[in-house]
Amino acid sequence: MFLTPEILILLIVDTMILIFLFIAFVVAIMVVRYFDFGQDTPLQYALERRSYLASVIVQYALWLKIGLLFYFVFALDKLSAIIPGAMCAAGVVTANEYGVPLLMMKVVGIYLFGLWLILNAHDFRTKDFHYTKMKFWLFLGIFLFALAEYGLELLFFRDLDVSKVVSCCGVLFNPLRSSAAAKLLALDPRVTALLFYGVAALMLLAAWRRWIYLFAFLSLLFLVVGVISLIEYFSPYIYELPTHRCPFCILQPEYGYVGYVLYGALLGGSFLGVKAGFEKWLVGIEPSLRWALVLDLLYVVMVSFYPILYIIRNGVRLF
Amino acid sequence: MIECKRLTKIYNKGTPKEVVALRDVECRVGDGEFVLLMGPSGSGKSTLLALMAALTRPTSGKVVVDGEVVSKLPEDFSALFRHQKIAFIFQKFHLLDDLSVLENVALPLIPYVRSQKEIEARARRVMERFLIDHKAHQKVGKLSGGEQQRVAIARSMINDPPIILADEPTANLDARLSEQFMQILRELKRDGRTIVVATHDPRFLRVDGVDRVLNVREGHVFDA
Repeated sequence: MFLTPEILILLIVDTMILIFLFIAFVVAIMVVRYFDFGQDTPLQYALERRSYLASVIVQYALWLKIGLLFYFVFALDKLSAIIPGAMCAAGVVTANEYGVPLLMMKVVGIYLFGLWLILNAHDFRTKDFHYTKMKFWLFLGIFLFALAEYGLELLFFRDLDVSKVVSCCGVLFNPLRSSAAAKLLALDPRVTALLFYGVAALMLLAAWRRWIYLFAFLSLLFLVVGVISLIEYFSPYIYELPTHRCPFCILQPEYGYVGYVLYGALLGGSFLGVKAGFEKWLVGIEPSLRWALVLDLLYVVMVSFYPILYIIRNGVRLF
Repeated sequence: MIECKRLTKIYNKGTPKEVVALRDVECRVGDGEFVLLMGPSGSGKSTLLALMAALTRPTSGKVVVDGEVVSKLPEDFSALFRHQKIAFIFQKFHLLDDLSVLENVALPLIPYVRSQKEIEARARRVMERFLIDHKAHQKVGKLSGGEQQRVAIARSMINDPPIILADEPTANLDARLSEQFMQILRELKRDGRTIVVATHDPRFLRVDGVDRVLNVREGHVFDA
């Protein structure tokens, strides 16, 4: 294992978070076993106090974890200057077998942590600790998830090797190669764009008709289709190069770090859509879709801007 | 109606400094009742009042006010409960010396009422009632003890709460000011408020309108 400031920061912050989550985990076990709001025993009062404290700890820890996803990607990008062959985060994340699962876990974590935070916010709005037991059950799973993610992160950084040449994104996302990413790229870019706009249109329809569960499902689909179409169709327009299809180079300063805004809007919009479905199912409220739609539309407008600009400037399409 | 059921409060539980302030207390204060909690210092009177006001949580047992278990309310809700239902008059007033009388009296409304006009109008109304309106713009730190207590009462009554809890309210007052304070309590009782006063001042026993006296001794409560 080698250490750069970014790796050190990630490991230290993640370790601290895990320590705090472990404290909350111990409380969570007590809560799921003994919490009973109807009781007024010393144990119950102690659990009410401790569960509140644990909830606040988890709340801050999870917000930090969500922010750390973006820092993790930033760190990968910085590491590409050290790992031979890597031109961006794509080369680093595929430098060993742990990188891609780790990145996936971190993205899935956003949804898990976010849903816990929503549940916690609703719990804090009730007089009778209505969702306390449920949120601590969920937290038990989240803790194990965070533990596994931490282990994977350690393995990933342990196995990063500065003497081993890795593939750059030009190789990884080349449609003519046989990698998994390349197989994905066997799809016609125009089809992926069509799928992307189709899902976006369906989301608008679902929002207009207030089909909340459909909207939540489409929000998840939007994330998947959004990433695929970004790689396949939109990124060549961003790079102004038909063969350059990388989802990571847009995070670099040459492209004004626009990737952070794009992924922020895509992930944020998708999450808020899922959140709406979750809230309707759990609390029975009619959730607002405003911010989900704002972020989704922001993403659609931003990615659409590049092909339009390219076509206006050059008079031709790439696909 | 305030009900305490098997109420126990232990400070520093499980440590060498453990103190049992209340043990298995059962008591009830009916609507509109004027009840005195009497007993020596350290007997648990203040703790009982703090529990009734949901200022602190019991170790076990519960406090029920108008059918709601207030001892188990989460912090945000207990603050709202106090705002709506409780006027708490402290022995040391707990006023902000650098603010004016008007500002001190208006304080409890600030988180809940947006209109500055409404806040001021309500503050002026309650200051008039407790005869402190002529000092509205004076800093509280410059007032006499009796005036400060009127400010404290006005502040606690600004939300027109149905329950008044007072903890040793005459401990810092001379005989004349104490008599004035007792007169105010008599008026509030006539308005139909529920009043609980924790005191070891025997002059309270002569106040008209006192319905019951509860003796507090070593964490236990007995009807006198």
